[in-house]
Amino acid sequence: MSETDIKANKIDYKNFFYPPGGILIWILIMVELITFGAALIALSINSRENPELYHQSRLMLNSTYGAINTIFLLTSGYFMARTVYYVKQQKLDKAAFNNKMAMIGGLLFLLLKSLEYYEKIEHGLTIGYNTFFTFYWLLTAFHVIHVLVGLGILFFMYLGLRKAKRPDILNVEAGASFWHMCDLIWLLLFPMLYLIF
Amino acid sequence: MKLTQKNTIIFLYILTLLTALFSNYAYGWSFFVTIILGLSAIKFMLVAFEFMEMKKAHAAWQFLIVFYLILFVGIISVILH
Amino acid sequence: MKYKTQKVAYWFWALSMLLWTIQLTYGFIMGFARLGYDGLHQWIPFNTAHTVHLNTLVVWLLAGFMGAAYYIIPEEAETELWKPKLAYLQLIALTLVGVAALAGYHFNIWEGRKFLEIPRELDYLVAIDVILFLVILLMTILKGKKKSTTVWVLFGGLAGAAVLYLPGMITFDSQVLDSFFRWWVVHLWVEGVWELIMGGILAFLLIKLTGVDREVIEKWLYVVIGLTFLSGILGTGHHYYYIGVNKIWLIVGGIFSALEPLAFLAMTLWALNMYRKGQKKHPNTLAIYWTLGAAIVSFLGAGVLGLAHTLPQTNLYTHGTLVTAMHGHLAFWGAYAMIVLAIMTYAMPNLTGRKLYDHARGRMAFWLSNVGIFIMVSAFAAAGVAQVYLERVLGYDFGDVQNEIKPHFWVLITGATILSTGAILLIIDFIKYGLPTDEALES
Repeated sequence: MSETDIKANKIDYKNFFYPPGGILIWILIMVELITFGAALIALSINSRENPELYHQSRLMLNSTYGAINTIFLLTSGYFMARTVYYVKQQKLDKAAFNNKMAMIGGLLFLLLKSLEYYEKIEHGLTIGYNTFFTFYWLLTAFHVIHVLVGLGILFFMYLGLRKAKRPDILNVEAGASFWHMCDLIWLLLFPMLYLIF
Repeated sequence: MKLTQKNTIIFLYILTLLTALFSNYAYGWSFFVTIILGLSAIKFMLVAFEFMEMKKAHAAWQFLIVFYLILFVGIISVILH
Repeated sequence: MKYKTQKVAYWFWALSMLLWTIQLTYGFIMGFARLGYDGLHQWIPFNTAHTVHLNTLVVWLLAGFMGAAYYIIPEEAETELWKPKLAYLQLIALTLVGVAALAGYHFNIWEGRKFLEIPRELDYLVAIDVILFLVILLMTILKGKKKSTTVWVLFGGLAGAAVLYLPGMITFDSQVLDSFFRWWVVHLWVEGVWELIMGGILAFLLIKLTGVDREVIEKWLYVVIGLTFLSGILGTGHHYYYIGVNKIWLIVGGIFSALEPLAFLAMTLWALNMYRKGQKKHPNTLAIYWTLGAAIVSFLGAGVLGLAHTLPQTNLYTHGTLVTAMHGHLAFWGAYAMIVLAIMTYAMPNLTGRKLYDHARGRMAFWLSNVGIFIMVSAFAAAGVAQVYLERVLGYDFGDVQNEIKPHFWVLITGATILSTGAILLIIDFIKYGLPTDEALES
């Protein structure tokens, strides 16, 4: 696959080195998934020493908030996918609109998460409260940082789409992939922290 | 029926609802953990294959995603058995 | 060589060889002392020997990196070095500071703190020396015709090392805080910015030795750097398990440090794949041996042996034992010693015109030194595991356990002798190359 192919948006996704977004972002995604995966495994192993504590602590979390946040991120992911679809169709105004909707989904997630954090702090359920809450704060905070970075990426994407230039599809897909990764991680975090114990 | 992006998000909503119902009413089932994580794994695959378009990618990447999920759900199920 | 001023590198490497000789000698002093043959105890007690051994290691590697930079950067930037006389000044200053420090250790002039023993006053001189080094390099890059990824990664690693030297210069009353920041130097050096330096040198060598396209090689350098920082920064936490800080570090440090081998795995796969892809026509076979060797052994020593003792549950038992020495020796050898020897083996024929590419002595040096280090590492492993079990699990007295594991030190000394024979052959080679000459200049 030559540079001209890529510039003409004729990417062969079946090429091992060109999954949607390119190989670098997917290496990053795999490393992130392994990192969060390892942390969740550590969480599970730790719970065996104190199953009652983990169960009681889990009940102190608001799973409704968690479920609503899941809906926010999934919906945001849908709009992200539509953004990429419209970029490929060269309908940049529609793409920008969907991009904006994706960002709103992310912002709603952060708003609800902030409310959730506020409530936890009010009740004294801070990072040192017990080991469950140490994991809860560490895992969700790392995830929030990724969401913030993702929103930054989406914002720059939005600016680029609004300028109605000819966007580089590989970059758009890479940015979208990072955003979807935030969703993927949340899909694992939510059941582990809010439902399982 | 062919999965479009619109169908996918609807499936995802349904699966989220199913997970919520299941977690509220089936607590105590012996395979509770595996089923909850399994439902999440399906959602994970829908996002990865449909939204991230990994259905178009090289088989090795598709394998890696599925293998990761099998490992994850498997290991956690064993630990929390 | 392509540029006259690349000759500067030779003198840094000469310092490296000298310091390596001292390192090996003091290693033997310690090995024999452990066996009860401690005749030099009055002038060179064990702790002095240990400090000299570690400090000469770090400085010979740093001098090696400096030489590598002075060789690589003019060639990559396609220009002569900026103010080469300053480079010689920088070398002499470094040597004087080093001699002062090493001499001082024999008179108990130091500040404790493993790896960072040099007195605070000398720290300032080192800092000035390194700033001078970086300025020379930066001016060379800026006036150059080309600015490649390789050059920026190499420079970035060196600059990062300089900046990260500073946390070690902060004074604390608290032992906990002192430990916390000490690791910002030691860990973020060898498991952070030094990996950038290794990556940059490796990229340069792969470009020259395999003939594969620069773009292809440099693309993978990004992956290596990404993996290094993703895992290594929070991986610093694996030095924070038991020093008196928050127990969160057990989780964060354990998870992220366990990912650190990925960066080295990436380097191994990268190097081997580029070699396979290439023409295999380069005459300097020994340089290829050392380059691919570094990529492989670094994964084994730094990656695998690091993983072996990084989890907190393991480290609780192995911390500060010979298991640490097991990892440290193979890691430093594979990642840093071998890459310095690789760039030297590549560059010396170009600097001196003597094309010692594939001769018996060179190959013996390669194999003897590597076989030697593996024997040493096996000895440390066996001694370390025995020590951990007897001392930490069963609770026997430190001194008694050291007596029990003495036989392993005979094996260690055997391995060290084989390694040193290889080293001597390398140094003979270094001398046989002769001095760099303008006749070796490519027109």
